Amino acid sequence: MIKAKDLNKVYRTDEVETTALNNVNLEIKEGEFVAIMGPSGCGKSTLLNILGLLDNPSSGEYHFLDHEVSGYSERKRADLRKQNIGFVFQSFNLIDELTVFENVELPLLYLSVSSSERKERVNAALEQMQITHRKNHFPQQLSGGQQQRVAVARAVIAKPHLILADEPTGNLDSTHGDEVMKILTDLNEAGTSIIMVTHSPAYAEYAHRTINLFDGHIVTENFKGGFHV
Amino acid sequence: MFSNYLLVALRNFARNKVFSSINVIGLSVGLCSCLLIVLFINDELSYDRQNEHAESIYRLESRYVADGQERRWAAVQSAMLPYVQEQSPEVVAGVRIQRNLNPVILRYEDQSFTETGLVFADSSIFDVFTLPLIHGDPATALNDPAALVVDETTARKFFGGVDVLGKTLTSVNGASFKITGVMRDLPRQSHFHFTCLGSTQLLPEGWINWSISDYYTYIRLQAPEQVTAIEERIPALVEGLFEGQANRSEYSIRLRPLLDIHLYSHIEKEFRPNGNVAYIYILGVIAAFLLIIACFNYMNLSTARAVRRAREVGIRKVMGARRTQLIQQFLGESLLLALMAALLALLILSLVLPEFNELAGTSFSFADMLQIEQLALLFGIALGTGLLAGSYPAFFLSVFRPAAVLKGSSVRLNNSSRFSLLLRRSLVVGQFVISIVLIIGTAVLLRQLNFMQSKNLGYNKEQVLVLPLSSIESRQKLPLLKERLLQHSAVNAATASFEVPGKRLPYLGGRFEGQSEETSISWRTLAVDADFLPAMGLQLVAGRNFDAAVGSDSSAAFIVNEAFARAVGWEEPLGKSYEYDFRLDSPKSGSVIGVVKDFHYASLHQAVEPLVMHIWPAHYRVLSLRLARGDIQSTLAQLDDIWQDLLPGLPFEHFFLDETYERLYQKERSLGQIFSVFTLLAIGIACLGLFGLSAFAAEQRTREIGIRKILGASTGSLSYLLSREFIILVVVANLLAWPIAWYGADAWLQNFAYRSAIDWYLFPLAAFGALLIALATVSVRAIKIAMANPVKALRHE
Repeated sequence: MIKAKDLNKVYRTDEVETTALNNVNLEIKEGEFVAIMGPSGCGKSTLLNILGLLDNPSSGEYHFLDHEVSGYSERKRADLRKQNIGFVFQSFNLIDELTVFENVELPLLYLSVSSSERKERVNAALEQMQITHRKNHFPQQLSGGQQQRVAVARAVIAKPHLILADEPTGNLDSTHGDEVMKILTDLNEAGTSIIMVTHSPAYAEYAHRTINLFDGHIVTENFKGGFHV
Repeated sequence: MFSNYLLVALRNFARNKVFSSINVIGLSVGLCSCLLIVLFINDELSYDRQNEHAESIYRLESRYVADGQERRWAAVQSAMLPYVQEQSPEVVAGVRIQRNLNPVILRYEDQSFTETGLVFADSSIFDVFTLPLIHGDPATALNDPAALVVDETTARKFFGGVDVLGKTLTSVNGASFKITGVMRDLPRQSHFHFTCLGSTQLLPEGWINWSISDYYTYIRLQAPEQVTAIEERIPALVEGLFEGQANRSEYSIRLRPLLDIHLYSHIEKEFRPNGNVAYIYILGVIAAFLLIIACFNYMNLSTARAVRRAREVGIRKVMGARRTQLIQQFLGESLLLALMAALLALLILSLVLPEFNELAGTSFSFADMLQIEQLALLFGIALGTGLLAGSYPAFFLSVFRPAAVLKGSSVRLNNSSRFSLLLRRSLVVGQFVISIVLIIGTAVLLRQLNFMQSKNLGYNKEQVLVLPLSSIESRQKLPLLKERLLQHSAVNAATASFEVPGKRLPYLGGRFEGQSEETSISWRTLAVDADFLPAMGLQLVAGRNFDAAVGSDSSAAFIVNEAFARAVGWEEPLGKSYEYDFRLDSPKSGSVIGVVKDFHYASLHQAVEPLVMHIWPAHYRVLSLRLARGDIQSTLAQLDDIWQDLLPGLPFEHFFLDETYERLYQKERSLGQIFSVFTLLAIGIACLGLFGLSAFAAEQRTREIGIRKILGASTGSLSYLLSREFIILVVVANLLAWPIAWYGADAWLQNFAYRSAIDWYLFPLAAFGALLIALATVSVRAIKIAMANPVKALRHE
């Protein structure tokens, strides 16, 4: 599903040039659950942004669902993204002015789904995340765990092939963190591919494979049950 | 999708009540003010347009130069019209209108009213002007010498209805009129005004002559452009007039388009004071200023707030929103607010309309506002502002890379937001430049008004009651009337004259010692009695006053003002001879017995002109009484009794001299009021914006302030930190505003022959005022933020 070859990402400001990704090669198959680990500033988020079509690499090839997308315009990326990728963030990133229901509904609006179908699907997703009783509340009225469940509901509402989770448990206590990991595992078992950035070795254990980044390189890849260099 | 946008917009509005309200209120007040001014300007521009042929109607004006002085009159001689008509085939119709100089008292049964609005006109008036008759036939209405066309109001006043053809009104002076037509009231937007229209056939025999320029003369052409043909013919026309006369003054006539009269014509003998196009410009500029300030605010606050929406933009983008969709959303939101502002503006308008009417002397109704042009203007401006204000956040935010927005919790200052900061600062400076210019402008204007109010006019205008002598009977009984009124203890002095200072004094012919034989000049001449100088408080600089006991003083004596002596070059005016020859077979010759110090008998717009005064009882038309201070109301009642005793049945008309003086500056005063009101509004709107911006800035720096506080900063130093930027902006605005204000004020003051100086201290004073207001506005928020608990501020991050 994902094939990246010699990905580089360089950030330039007036004075300094920072290499965030350095010749990253990566392949992820349909249905895989991959964790990305590494210290702060190693390029995890940059990699996730490129994989999530939020950003273009400086050089290299990136094939997403058999499209070579590294040179795609923002608009083409947006179109591809909204149908295929769901996002979950550390800080939830729910829109404060919208209710739980409306937040979850948002991706469907951009996919021009009809109103009745939207209602049905949102309700189903809320049901699945066990947050239905909160659907008319605003994000600030919810606990962190609840907010993240809403965010996950929003991420899966468009039935994406891939979910990108950027430290989804980073702002949660362990009980809520476990809860979210359970949901992600369930989604993965139902066939959705998941790429997750995390600092927690325990949560990385949920993945089939762990990629360790350091200074923009992939230093090790750790498959469940053994190392693979 | 639309409902989602709307929902977010409304919830955003509700969440940021302060910002949103500032935004909407500021814009709506700006829109409302602008709309009012536009309405006022439209009204001024609509004068005389009710005439179907307005574009092809011209007024004949006379201009002549005598001894280097140019005089221009709004009227010409009665013989001019037939003369011009005879030689100009382009003229379809022409009319002469003569204003009855004296008010006339008309009676119907036992009721009598003083009519000031009587004019006499040729029957062709209906061919030139559009004067719809409710009753009567325009073709015949003025064919009879005794015919009288009255307007609706007058008809109702006398007869209680409008179906009054054939009824008779009699003048207390003996004439009788038969009502032959009832016309609609002239609209307020007409350069001339009359309520009763008599026929020129009633004028005394021989009225058509070349002697006196007292006839407002209008011609209607087949087409407006034919005026050039007539203008080319004027020199020949004038030449023909003076054939064989060697000693003629430089004389000419000119044609003025009817539609130019109200705003552009300010010459002698205007039917009534006209508007002034300069004030239209000034008001137009103020309207634009207010609107710009309000729009600046709107854009400023919108862009400032937009940064807080960055996260939402990021999320929406991640969810698959396209850039165009985001642009739509932000523009839509901005338009929605602007629309609300427009609706609110209409509401405010309906509330303030009565006050505005009073201020500007207009009579607009709310229905006038709902004209399609007004509404188009209102919503056009609102939507334009909304689009402009919305386009910055729309285009700026929609390019945010979601990855950057969502990761960092605050948006870094990149180049484009630095640009937006610069833009915001410029807008604040712009607002304050405008406000300061308005403050200084208002101060100069009010000072000039005050200057005119308090200037020593050379006569004493206080406590003078003026009684017009409208009837022949009252003029005949003048000596007795004066004597009886003087017996009243509250009457300190009484004097009869042709006119009072503050009203127009006529130019009448005369010759002074040393004048060349070829020239004929007329001078402003005032018929007075021997009590005029002391009663009015005029000061003699040489010679003596008239003495009623000296017979030759009434037959052969003149008093002139200093300006006269200067104009004719007399070093020693006393004893110089003067001949008064207006409408006299043999001139009244005499000598100058006194010189009065120049006094301002006309407005301070003009320099004091030469003036001749003499005793001439035939011309006495007003009786002025100098009253003692005290209970004016009961004095008036007692004077009324004396009047009724002598002149039973004649209304006791009166006015105070200082009212006449006030009327000279009515335009300036109402301009002053309008200026003050709109200046306050401008400052208010600017402060509203400043408040919003400073609140926003303070909020953005919450974290910085928290850190500084933990490191030991005091509330005072933090308030200073937060206010400093705005103070600098206001100072910069001052430096820019001063030259503009000085230039504008100086140009306006050139309108006055006598003017107050522009005091230098007005400038720092305005600066200080603006600074104080800005500081007060900014510090409200700054202090609040500075006093907040720093832990809270940091946890917030």
